[in-house]
Amino acid sequence: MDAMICAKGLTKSYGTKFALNNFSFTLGAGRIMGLIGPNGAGKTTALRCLMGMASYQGNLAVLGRNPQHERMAMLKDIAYIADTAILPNWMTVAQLVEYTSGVHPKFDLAKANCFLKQTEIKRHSKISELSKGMVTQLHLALTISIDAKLLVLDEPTIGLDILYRKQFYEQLLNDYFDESKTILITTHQVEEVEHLLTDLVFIKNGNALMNIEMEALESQFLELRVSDSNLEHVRKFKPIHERKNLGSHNLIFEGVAASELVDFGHISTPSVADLFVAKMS
Amino acid sequence: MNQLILGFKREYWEHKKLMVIMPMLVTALFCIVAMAATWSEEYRINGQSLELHSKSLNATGQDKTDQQVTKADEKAFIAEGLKVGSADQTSEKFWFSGVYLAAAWLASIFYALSSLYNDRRDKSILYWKTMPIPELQIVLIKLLFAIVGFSAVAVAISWLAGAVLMSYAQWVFPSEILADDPASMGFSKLVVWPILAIITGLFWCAPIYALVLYVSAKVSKMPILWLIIPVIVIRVLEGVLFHTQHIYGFLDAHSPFTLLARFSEMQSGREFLTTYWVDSFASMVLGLVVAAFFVWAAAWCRENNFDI
Repeated sequence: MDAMICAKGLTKSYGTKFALNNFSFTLGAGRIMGLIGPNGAGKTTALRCLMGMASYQGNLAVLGRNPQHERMAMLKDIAYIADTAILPNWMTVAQLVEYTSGVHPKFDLAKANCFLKQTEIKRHSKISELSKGMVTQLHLALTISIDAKLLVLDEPTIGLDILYRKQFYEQLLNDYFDESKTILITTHQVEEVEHLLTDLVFIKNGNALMNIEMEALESQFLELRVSDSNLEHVRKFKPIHERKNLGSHNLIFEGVAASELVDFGHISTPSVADLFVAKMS
Repeated sequence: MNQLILGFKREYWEHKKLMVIMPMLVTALFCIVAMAATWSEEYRINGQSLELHSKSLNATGQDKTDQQVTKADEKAFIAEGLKVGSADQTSEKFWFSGVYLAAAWLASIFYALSSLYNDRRDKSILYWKTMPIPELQIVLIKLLFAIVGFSAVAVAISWLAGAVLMSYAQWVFPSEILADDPASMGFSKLVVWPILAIITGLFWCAPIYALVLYVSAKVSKMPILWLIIPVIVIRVLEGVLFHTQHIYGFLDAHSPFTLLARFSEMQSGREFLTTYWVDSFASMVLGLVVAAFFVWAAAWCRENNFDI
């Protein structure tokens, strides 16, 4: 597996507070990784380090390059959506497309125009006049028109309604992603990206709490729904999380074989959201 | 090359209103002043001419009334009056373009002060930073645009305004007045002097603009206060502690407005070139070193400390 991102012992502090504390992970080509964590966990800081927008300590290679020293060369192969509200409001759509097309060597103008034709965005409109959903479409059009090897998304759908959020991820998969592309995404809306992900990293207090491939999730974690009568028996297997659910109990286990628990209740694979809550608590 | 052109285009797209409004205001002001001056000058000379003409006719024994003064006689006297009136304006070689340049450079100070601050405040810097363009290049483009871009647009508008005002003058006054008028707007005053001022301004005023850009890239709020207050503090501290004004004097000398004021006082282009490019060459080089430092510092802030 060619590593698109390789972070080892990534550390970043603001004064005495550590935003990243010995954070390590690896992301291979053709993968979609979800970087999930609560507010202030260090997700945005990690992405900024990857993009060469923040200094750091530790070892970090993005596309085989050092983001701090080879940022310009690296940016030719990376696309980044930091937030849907960061496009310059004073520009018109046509100006932004012309600018991006002119300065980015891997920007495909025909692809951008084709994508924009499918939307209701007018080329002469100012960005400040567009709705937030339209700005997202525009940003996505610009981003996927760059033939980037790596796409980094930092809460790309925050503040959007469910229709635009669905549309965003559909277009991302249909128009951008293939086996040669890699995506790193942070979001709070875990349920919406769960089915896209191939890799999952939970981050808390600047540290990787869990780093797992989605294929391995099923074998490593399981969720058991049990009645009150079996609760004390299964607690002996040390669940990592437990919650009450309409007359039954849902318990999440790590590293316990399904055969050991099958007699006590219904077994399933926990959702990423439930796993996240379990790990964070 | 394409990146550079688009860099300048981006600045123009964002700030074209500010670039155009100031020279247009100056033009409007000139038009009002010209019309008012025309009216008062005509009134004064007409009255003067009729009075003089009557006296001269009486002296020669001709007995013409005011009503009998011909139009041609009147024009001749107006022409004479205007020549006398404009003779004392010969030293004002640069005032017309100078006002445009002053307005442009005032606007460009505000441009420089906001250009690296506004995109941090609205977070659009995060988009710009995804483009493979070095921050140093962005800061240098803004520096060039502030000094040269604004003034070039202002000078172009001054040429148009000059042409309009000259046409107006030709329509109002007899042609023989304008042909001989030494204060009329000639090629050197409209074209050569402003270009000379812009080129000199680029090198001479670079430290001031670089300082303004650094403030714009560094501060988290109220950049105008962060520009003005430290200069006042430096002036006071330097004066109180060392009884000198070297730093403030340097900043003042390299200000575009001081440059324009001195430029307006000079009698020839040669004097101006000698003053700035020969006599003050060491100060110009020092200014460029200071400018290079502030440009680098602004680019560093953009790279490493851009959050507000």
